[in-house]
Amino acid sequence: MNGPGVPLKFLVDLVAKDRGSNWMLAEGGDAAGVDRSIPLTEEILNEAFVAYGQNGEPLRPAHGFPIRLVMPGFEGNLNIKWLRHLKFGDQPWMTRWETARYTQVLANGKAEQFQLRMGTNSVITTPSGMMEIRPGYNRISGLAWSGYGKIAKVDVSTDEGESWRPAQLNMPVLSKAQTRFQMDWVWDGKPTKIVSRSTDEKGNVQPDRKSFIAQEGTNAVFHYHAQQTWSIDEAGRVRNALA
Amino acid sequence: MLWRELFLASAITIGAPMSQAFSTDFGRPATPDDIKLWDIDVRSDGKGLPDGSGTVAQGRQVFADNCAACHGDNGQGGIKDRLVGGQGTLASEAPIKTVDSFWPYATTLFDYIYRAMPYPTPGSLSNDDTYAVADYLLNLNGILPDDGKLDRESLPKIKMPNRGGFIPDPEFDPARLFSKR
Repeated sequence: MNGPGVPLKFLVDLVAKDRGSNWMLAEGGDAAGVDRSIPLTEEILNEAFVAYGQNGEPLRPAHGFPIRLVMPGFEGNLNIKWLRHLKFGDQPWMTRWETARYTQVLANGKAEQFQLRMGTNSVITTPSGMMEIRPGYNRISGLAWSGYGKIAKVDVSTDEGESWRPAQLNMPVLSKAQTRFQMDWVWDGKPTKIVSRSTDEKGNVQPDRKSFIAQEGTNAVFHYHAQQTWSIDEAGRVRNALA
Repeated sequence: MLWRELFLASAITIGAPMSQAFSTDFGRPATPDDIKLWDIDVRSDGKGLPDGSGTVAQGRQVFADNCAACHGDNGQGGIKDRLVGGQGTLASEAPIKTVDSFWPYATTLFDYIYRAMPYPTPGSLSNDDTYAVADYLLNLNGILPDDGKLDRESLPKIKMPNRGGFIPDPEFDPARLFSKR
């Protein structure tokens, strides 16, 4: 997200919070009053901001008008929309959205909590589910992002992961921001599967689905970031390979 | 006050140029009434819990009137989440995550119900109604007896069955993140 805003650090300095208050509750003005506890690490203090505009206009209602918190690289609902309240304290609040939800149930039944950072991720957006392509030239394009920094490279496979080729990255590649990638492809008309795999500047590689499940189990749905495979049938119909 | 707080109702002028957004002398200060309306968060140690209390019997009625339409009679689930049972399922292929089987803190019931429930009219339950319906849910789950009474003192003391079921991400472990090295 880009747009004008006020750095979180400015607001924190403005209210002169207690030194020991290293957690912040951010609360939205939506009907549910969504509230999340946020650790005030140096990184978050330096990078988070309260936005009031985007793309040259005020925030749109669906994006949190009049103001929202923006937490680059961190999980979606920490970016509290319709922000109405920040409170500082020395421990997390343990709200419903950080206990009952947004915790990762592992295969052994234990749940990972405060897994706040986005994993290295990517998805091919063209061609993707419900589209239809024709044999011959097709441009593969998609988005990649990581909560750890910049995207370093994206590899694309058009043969179900047998072989990979590097995609081009569209400039500018910014830290903790979506990066558009693309690759020229000539489809021979035979059924196949296409998939992308991103790597970030810290060397984190987007896992394939099997490896992700081996580590996290099948119920860790809140931070799923495994590779997304599209299947293409003989008529050029593109579908989720899992469907 | 142990915390400094920031209420944002009037703090930002929409569309103001960046240079003016750094001025602190626009808008109006939040009034005590503004603050009271939104200062409703409850922490796991009970900080933030208001006065008031509720019983299982009261909660049964509050639940029937406000909650059962979505959560089913006795919290068995309906068009929205099941709230009872499910213990022993977390390690299975299809875990049933309920207040009983999953929620680590009872205080979260108050924070969430008071702010977000019931779905058509969130924020409409009184403090007493909220304590009562939390009481009823904990009773349904066998965590509180039939004559259990909840208030700001007793709610934080309840030990939920799955309290030990969470593993903090090493990067953001509250027990270690800001501790002195």
